[in-house]
Amino acid sequence: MNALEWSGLSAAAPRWRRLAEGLGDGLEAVFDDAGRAGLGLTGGDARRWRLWSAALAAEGLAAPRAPAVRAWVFLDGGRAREAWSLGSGGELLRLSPGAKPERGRVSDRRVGGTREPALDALLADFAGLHPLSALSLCLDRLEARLTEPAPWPLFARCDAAKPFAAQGAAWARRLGARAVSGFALGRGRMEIFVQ
Amino acid sequence: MSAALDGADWVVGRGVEGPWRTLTALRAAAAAGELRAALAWLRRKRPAGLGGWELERSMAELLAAPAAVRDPLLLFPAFDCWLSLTAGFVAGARPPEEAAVHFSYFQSFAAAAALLTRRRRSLRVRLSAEGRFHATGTREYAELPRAAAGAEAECRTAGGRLEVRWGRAAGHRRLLPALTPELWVERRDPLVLQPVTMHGLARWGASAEARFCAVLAKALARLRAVDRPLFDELSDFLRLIVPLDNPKSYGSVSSSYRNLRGALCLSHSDDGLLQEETLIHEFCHLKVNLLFAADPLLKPGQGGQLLYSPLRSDARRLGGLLLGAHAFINVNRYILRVLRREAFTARARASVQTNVARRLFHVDDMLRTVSLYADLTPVGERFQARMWREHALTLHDALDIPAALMEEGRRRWREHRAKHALGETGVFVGGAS
Repeated sequence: MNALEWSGLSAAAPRWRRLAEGLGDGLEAVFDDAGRAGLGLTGGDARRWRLWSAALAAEGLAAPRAPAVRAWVFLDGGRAREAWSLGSGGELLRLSPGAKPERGRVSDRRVGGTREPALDALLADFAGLHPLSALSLCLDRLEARLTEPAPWPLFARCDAAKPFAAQGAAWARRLGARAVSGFALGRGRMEIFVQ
Repeated sequence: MSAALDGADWVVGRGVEGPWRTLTALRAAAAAGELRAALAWLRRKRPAGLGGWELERSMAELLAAPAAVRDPLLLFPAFDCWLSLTAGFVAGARPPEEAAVHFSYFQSFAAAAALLTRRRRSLRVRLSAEGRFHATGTREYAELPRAAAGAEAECRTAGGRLEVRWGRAAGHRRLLPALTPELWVERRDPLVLQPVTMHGLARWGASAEARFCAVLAKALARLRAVDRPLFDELSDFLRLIVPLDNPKSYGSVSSSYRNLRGALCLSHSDDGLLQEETLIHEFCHLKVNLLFAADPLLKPGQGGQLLYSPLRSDARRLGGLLLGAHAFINVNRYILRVLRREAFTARARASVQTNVARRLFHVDDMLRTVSLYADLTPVGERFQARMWREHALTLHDALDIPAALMEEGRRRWREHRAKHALGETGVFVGGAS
């Protein structure tokens, strides 16, 4: 069962279901705390990125020409509302329908180095439970990747997962024991990447 | 300190030697350090309105008192609260214009220190809003005319006697009711009552207070007989009981406060066993909070409020479940021992057994959720492992409980769980409150 099937997107997103069937492995699900779901693509060859770019283009989102290291898209009612693409040189691209792409360069951070004491404390506590392999900042977005993906129930108990607590049972039903490989904070929103 | 702590020896009563003494000494040392910081601040800042109060002398004398006098005062619940507010002034977080009133109340502790060391001292003091002066840390207080409310007065101590005068009016000497030589009932001292906000305070006459004290004194006597190590810990730690109102006639209303350590707030009940259960329950929370000062048990960052508790209809945190499981392991253990030792009518015994039966399933559920979802420190791991062991022992003690009552307990727990938990997980079905 691939990420698209259990993410609940397939019924509303036939284009993305066909994409997922074509891509096979290497997909992860993406969710934000407002309940938007999406797909994430990690690694892969030129063929996979062509398929991905074509799907974005069909939604009016101009994907970069060079294959991305990682990419993800948020869907609303089966339509792509926002997409991100991380290039191999650390350039991050944010794509929205009808808008020019926003570009930024990712800069690495260490735990304790965000210059916001409350956020530093939150991340330090989280890293004590689930070590982080990477922390980066770009386009007002802080992204953390876990060294070992954490099963959702153990991620949910953390202070860092507070934005998802209001719908704790709903998320528990949706994700079961699937593992969170990373999360991002920015613009008043939290995103999680789920394998 | 964490390296020396076992954690397992904190689960049930072990008496007051060893780690208990060590943590108590650490608390006293920490309080002394905070008082020294307050003294240093007072010397630097000299808040307006405190000239002539000799507060620096009062603080220095308390710090220099013999340990047998100084440490109990430093650990007294009202002192805990006073220090927690003082930290705000020292940090510059509280308005300086409030400092004069706050620091003037230190003289209550100074009077207590002078009384206990039998020192001759004359103190400028501030009376409470009811016209009383409390030698906080002793049983003694003085009542003056209502017109003296909030006024400055003079307090003299000599040879262990207290005199308070407001102009020509002399205060009437009173004593707090004593449940044991070191555990008193307090419902007047503002230094004690100021953080008590969760429930209303009891407003009683003398006969209601006497009835409250009689039930509690008897309850404490049985606690001493049934579980001496737990009683010794409770007696060593608890100094004050604050009576609460119980307007909706719940079985029991109780609370304790992190900045009023050593005090326990409790409503009246004529049911002595219920009072014992409540004393043990609240004391267990205070006891674990004492341990938290040395080790957090739970690794930081696990405050997600999304878990099911068999005791509640809202989402709880891991810390709350840990505290709840610990308290009820001790309550169940105690009540099963009482049932073994004493005669009850068949009906009363069945009623008590029904409650215990349900609580056994509650403890099991809470411990299970902690085991499933918590990352614990090494001390926390040992604490949790011992909780499972003690819970297992109570299951053996509970073999006397008729099967029908156990089944009823199980049924009620499962019913509650089906309504509030997500399947067989530890997740609350309704989301964070």
